[in-house]
Amino acid sequence: MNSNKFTLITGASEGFGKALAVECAKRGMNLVLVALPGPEMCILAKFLRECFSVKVYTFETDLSKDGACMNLFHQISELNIEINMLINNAGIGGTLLFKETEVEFLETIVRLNVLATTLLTKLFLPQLQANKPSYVLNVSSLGCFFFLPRKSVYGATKSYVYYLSKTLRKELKPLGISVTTICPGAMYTCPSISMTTQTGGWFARNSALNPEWLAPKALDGLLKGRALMIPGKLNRIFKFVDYILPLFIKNMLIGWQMNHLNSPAKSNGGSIAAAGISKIKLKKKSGVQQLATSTLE
Amino acid sequence: MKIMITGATGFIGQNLAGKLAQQGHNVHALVRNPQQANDLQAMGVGLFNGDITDKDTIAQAMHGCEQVYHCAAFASFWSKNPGEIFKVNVEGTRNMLEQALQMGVTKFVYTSSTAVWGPNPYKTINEDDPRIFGFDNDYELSKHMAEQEVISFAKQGLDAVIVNPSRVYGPGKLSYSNAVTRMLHDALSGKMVMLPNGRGNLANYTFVHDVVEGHILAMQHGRTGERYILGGENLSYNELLALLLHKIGRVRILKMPRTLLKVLGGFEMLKSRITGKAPAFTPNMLDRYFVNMAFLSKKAEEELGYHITPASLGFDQTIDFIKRQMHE
Repeated sequence: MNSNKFTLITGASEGFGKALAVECAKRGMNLVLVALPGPEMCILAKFLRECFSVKVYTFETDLSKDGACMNLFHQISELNIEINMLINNAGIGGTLLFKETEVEFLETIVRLNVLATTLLTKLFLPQLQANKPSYVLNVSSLGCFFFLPRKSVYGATKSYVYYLSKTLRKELKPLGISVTTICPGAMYTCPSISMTTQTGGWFARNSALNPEWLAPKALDGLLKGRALMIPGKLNRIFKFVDYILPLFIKNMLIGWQMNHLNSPAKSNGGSIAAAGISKIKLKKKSGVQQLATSTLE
Repeated sequence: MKIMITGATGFIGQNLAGKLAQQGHNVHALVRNPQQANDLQAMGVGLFNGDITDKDTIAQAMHGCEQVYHCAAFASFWSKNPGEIFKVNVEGTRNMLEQALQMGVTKFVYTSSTAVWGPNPYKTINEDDPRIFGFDNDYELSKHMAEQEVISFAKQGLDAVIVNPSRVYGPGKLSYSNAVTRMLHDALSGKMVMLPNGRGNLANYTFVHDVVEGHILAMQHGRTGERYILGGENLSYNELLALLLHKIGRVRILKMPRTLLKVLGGFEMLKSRITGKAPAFTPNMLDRYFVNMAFLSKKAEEELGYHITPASLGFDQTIDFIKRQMHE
């Protein structure tokens, strides 16, 4: 690959973003990594340079903050490199009742999942067009197909990402830019989400994917120009079951579940909000057995 | 000196407690079941009945101790109740750290594991490397979270150090975490030895006496909040097999392909769901046998004066120990 071409990955210090970074580097692709401030990304970048001899730039920023996307764009522009692949992976999630969710958290999740994904795609569009063929991977969630209580805002942001990607795919195709949407379910990403999944129900533990397993498949799909990827056999089965089940049965199951589930949410999304840690991207899968949450960043 | 140790009935802990007692220290061991700790008593270790999930019993055992070795852990990839692993490994460690800070312990050594890095197919792992695999099992995740607790207490002023042994073998209890010694035991008793058909995949094997020494060195020279890999030689399964054949002579080996092991692992999981008993191995655990997990102990060697016993020598001593046990 041309030595001045770069792949930009947001949320690259943990989980799916990190696994994608490893996979890209393994294939000799140069990287621009973006994540929240913290030591993990630099440790990763050092490892990638050492093992795969690729160029890696890192930017520590909170993309949910005002002007962060614009700043990032300007900083990257100064490097005089060409971005030909954009992976909008950074995101945050939570499993919380709407009335219990703090306003600050709602703002952060919409800004990160919706606004940052939109703005970065817009800002890097001219570069992507100039370096065609180029690729955009937007990370949505299996949760965007289901309408689940406690997932209202998260699911809505991911539905937005889904809609945006599907539409942009049509609009940008003539420009030589292929847009792919990936909708993973539960994944073993950052420690807190992995723990929620590990201690969760049967469906969560058995449907959860390893990011390092998914990353090569996601990248293959992206480079082949696939429109939509729903990884994981159980996830696809679940989506199919959801498709054939009559609505009243689904409503019964969800109602039953809501009554029986003691909020893993509070400790999860709630503490994330409280701590202001917006680094996590939550992929959610909802199950007949359980609403599993998992994050990736 | 008064020294507290947890996990003293385990493989590493028992060796460490014995060594400390032998050096003339007053060793306080926190044990869940004193009846099962007769060996420790015989070595001159003081027993305190309790549990790391119970702060009061920790306080009793820690009273007056200058140093603390926290070796206790739920050391298994499987638990009937997944929350239990986190309760013991994460909350238990936090309880220990809180008490140590409160009671003015001068130095604290936490026994973690190289499992916190997981596998890395691309290089020999050192302390500065990232974990590149997801946390797909409770054990590795809980040890990582416990390390974060130790680091956060180190920042609060507790002089705490982390040591990360790899696959430990050697004289001592044939416990869950002493799999290599159990394998040698099987080979010596003429049983069939199952090895993963992982050809060149590397793993790191460390001799328990080195690990014990590494703990003591970390207590003396370890820097606050730092991690030290206490490893041994990196060997492929082929090299391990060659060593086994060289030391023991005739060994019946069954090389298990990955898919077969996966299927068997699935059956084991199913069986454990029905019976509630621990599976012999889990599919997650099996993955670890088919990818490189090679480690470098250079930091411990340079900063602590850690020394690696060659695998050949370590195997000799272990085989002697097993033979003596078998004759008793």
